[in-house]
Amino acid sequence: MSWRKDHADSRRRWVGPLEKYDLIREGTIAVVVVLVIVIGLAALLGSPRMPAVSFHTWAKADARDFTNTTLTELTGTSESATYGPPYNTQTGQLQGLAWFSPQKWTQDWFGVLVPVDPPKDFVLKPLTSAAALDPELRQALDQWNAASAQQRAAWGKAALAVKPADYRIDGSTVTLPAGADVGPVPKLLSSMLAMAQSGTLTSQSIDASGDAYSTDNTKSELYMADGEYLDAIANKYLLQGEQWGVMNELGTWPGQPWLWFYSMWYNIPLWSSNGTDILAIVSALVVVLVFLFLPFIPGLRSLPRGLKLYRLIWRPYYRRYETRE
Amino acid sequence: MDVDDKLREGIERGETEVRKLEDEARAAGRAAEECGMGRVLIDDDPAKLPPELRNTLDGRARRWFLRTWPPQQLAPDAEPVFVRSWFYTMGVCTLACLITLFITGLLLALFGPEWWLTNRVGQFVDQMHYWAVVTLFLFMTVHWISVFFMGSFRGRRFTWMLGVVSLLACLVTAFTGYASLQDFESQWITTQGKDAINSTGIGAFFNLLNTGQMLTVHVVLLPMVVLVVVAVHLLLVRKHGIAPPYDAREDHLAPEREAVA
Repeated sequence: MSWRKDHADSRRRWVGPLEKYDLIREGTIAVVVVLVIVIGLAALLGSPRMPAVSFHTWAKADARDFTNTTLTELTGTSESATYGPPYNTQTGQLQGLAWFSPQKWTQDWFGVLVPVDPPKDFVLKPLTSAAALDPELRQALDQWNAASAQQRAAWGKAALAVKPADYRIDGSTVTLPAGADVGPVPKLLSSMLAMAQSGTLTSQSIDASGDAYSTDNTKSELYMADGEYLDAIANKYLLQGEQWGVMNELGTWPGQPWLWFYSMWYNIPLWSSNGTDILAIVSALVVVLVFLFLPFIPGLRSLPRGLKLYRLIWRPYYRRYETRE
Repeated sequence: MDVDDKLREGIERGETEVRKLEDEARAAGRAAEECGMGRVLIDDDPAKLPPELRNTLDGRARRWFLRTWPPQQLAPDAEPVFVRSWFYTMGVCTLACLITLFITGLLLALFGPEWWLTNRVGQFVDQMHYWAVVTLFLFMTVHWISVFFMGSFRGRRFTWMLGVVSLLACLVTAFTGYASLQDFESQWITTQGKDAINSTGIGAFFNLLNTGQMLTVHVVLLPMVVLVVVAVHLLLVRKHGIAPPYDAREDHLAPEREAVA
């Protein structure tokens, strides 16, 4: 039986036997059944909601990681500072497949659309607002701001040369081992750590601009994602891409298993070794297009006819009525 | 002229004015009657309408809708006998999940993040919303898999495609829901997912880290898309009817060919 014949037959109006059917009644029963299932599952299993990580919890739990991340933000060497479109003109996270790079094209056409300047936005801005209460910080900030770009780079380089494991952190006071001149960097880091640990450094301190409070957490979330603390929690709860992290939510709870057609590419060696997201996206797009145009694809559209699983679904019909076969 | 005279004159002038207006209204009514506007205006046979009323856009749209979706077809009393199977209820169950999601989602949107994160009632409604999503995709998956194995896209290719679009719309909606949660899960998903979205070049317009944007997209924009796509999908199902079984009996199918796709 050809697809053409099946297709043509299916367009013929049904004049065979009918059965009573009440759509509104069926729909009402379905809503009640779904409500019972959903209320039952919510009551029995619930769903995990772990509070979001704040600067406060991060700095309390891992002051060393917070301090190191803040140093990379201040010196413009963090992932966010070197990211590229849409945050800045760097190329650290710029992706493309050979000539195909919509990330670059968008920047070429529209410029930097979500400007993020980590030294200024993540560190100097909150420090400046706190400096009114702390003369020592005011002095350190003045020293940093008055220094030439070369001088700042030299301080930054010297500070970055110290391994995070060698930071001396006493409460919220950060000391870098004596060596090269690091200028006001330890005081700036100490003040950031003190603000974070006391809870005065919030996403609003970083994201809000002017008089408006912000509902856009781009900058504060980028800051947190630059550290390793979020990663460590995600590892613990099996949320990394190579752990099929999209499929589950905090351990064994179902997350978004329906995104398997995208998530799977991160777990196939040829794709995961490529290390880009754009390859996974393009591959998932191909799956979607095949799915979308399935009724037009010879072979695939005839699969149900060949597999004959429909016989199970329509068994009562075939049993009751004489068919052509 | 005293006050009484002035008053009387004013009343007379007013009465004259009212009579004039009444006359005008009667004349307008007679004119309307003459051109047919006094009669029943809705008639599905344009030939029976006055010439100037035959080509209104409203009338044409109404006639097209009624021709395409006669009421008996939109809400039939009976369906073909082969429809008796649990698999045919999966679409309705998916729809029931959507209704549950709209109800719980409305409550969550009204009361806000603090409510669903800290209040016990809010947390429970959030959990209902979460399980309704899981159930939605479960029913939807069984729906499309059974539709595939029944080859129900025969003669109904556009209906299948709209079904796929509604699935995709639901995927994006669910994703933006996760992005709006404001718990660790959403923090992790958005900070990780941004790289993939940025690589497509739309990261600035669909910014996962912009919580306000995600919430608006999740509760306003995408539900509208889902609503429209699902509505058209359902209308197409009602228009074309349900695909008959493979090898249906010859006398169960009308001899004439009907273009339904």
